[in-house]
Amino acid sequence: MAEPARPVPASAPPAGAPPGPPPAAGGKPPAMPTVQEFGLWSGFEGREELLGRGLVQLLKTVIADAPYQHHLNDAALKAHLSAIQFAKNLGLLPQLVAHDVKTLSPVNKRVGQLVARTGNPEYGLVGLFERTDCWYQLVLEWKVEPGRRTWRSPFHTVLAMGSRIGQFDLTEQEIHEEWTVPRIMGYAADIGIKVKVSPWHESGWLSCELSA
Amino acid sequence: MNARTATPAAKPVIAEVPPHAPKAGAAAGTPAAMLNQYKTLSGFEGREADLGLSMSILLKMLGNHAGYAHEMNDPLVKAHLLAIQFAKNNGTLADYIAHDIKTMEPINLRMKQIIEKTGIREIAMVALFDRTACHYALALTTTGDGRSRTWQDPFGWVLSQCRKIGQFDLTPQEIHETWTIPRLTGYGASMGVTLKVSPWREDGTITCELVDPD
Repeated sequence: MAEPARPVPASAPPAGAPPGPPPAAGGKPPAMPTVQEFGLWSGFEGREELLGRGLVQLLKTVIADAPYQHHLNDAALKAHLSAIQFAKNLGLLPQLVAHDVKTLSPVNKRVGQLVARTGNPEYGLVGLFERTDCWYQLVLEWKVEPGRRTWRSPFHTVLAMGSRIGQFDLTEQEIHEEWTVPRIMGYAADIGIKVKVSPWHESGWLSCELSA
Repeated sequence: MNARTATPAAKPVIAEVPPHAPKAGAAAGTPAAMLNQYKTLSGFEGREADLGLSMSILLKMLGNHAGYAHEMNDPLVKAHLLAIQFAKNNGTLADYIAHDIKTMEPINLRMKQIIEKTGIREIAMVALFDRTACHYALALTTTGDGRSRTWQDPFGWVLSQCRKIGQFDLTPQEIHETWTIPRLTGYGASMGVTLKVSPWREDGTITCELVDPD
């Protein structure tokens, strides 16, 4: 009989340990896993329906390629564009930005406590970017470096398609300068860190970095 | 194998190898289309990177329990809540809805043409609910077919969490009555159909039906 493709280990290795059972110390047999540890778990037990719904939404969006290839951020981009265009039309864009910064301030001030306690402004960047679903579900192309985050403006395709049929008259540069930059600066002020956001670049690649 | 015990060679059994259901792509009936029917395709060929990235975001979303268990529609719900609360605070909610209906007019007027051409009014329901990421990414529980769709209010869960820290003073009922209903009936009017949206129910179940014109 052939060996099973995935032999059952004698015990679960501790996190970060090399694969394989831990060596016996002092002639003692390796520690036995608990019954719970002996099982295999996805982490979604009890949330199968939630996972299924999320998957269906994801697959429906990624497979939609007419009249353009949709990405997971499509609906969120349109919701933001609709609100930004509305505020612009009424001359209320700075007020929308202020409203947004104020709405997020309870969360940002909480992150600010962590920054103050640790003295590490990197927590502030993590709070602004990789921990926040409003960021990482909107911006799909981005890079993390110490003290710096780089991303590609996510609005290009949806804005181009919407502008073609008269839905928006915004430009990506305008969104960057009048929406993205003041919002990030406002969030950072609440967190208590100093950041510098790059000016608009035609490639759409932008950055935010900690500044002294 | 021992030659002395071998049984006489039997005629090989021919297995069934049925073609798959036809998929969009090559024109039906062409050799390319027939060939494609023998391929096992996921439909995501060429989009593996996008799929992988989206899966990664999904797993991150559902693994996020900071404050409360996040669902896939979390950022979209918050983007809408932010704009609705802003418009409410400025007394411009009705203007925001009119802006939204006007923004969607190029698409909804096209759907109206298709409905008039085909005579199939249910196309309006497909356009509003089944084809539109703006709906199915927001209302993850949508079910139904034909002239009716039902879903669970998507705002209540996030609102109940965010109200605790003073981010919003909206209620799900208020959103339903002052935002969801006028938008849907406005979209329907653009498409030349009449839609009836259920009044607010405490369990958050919402139904939208296509009704016959008067």
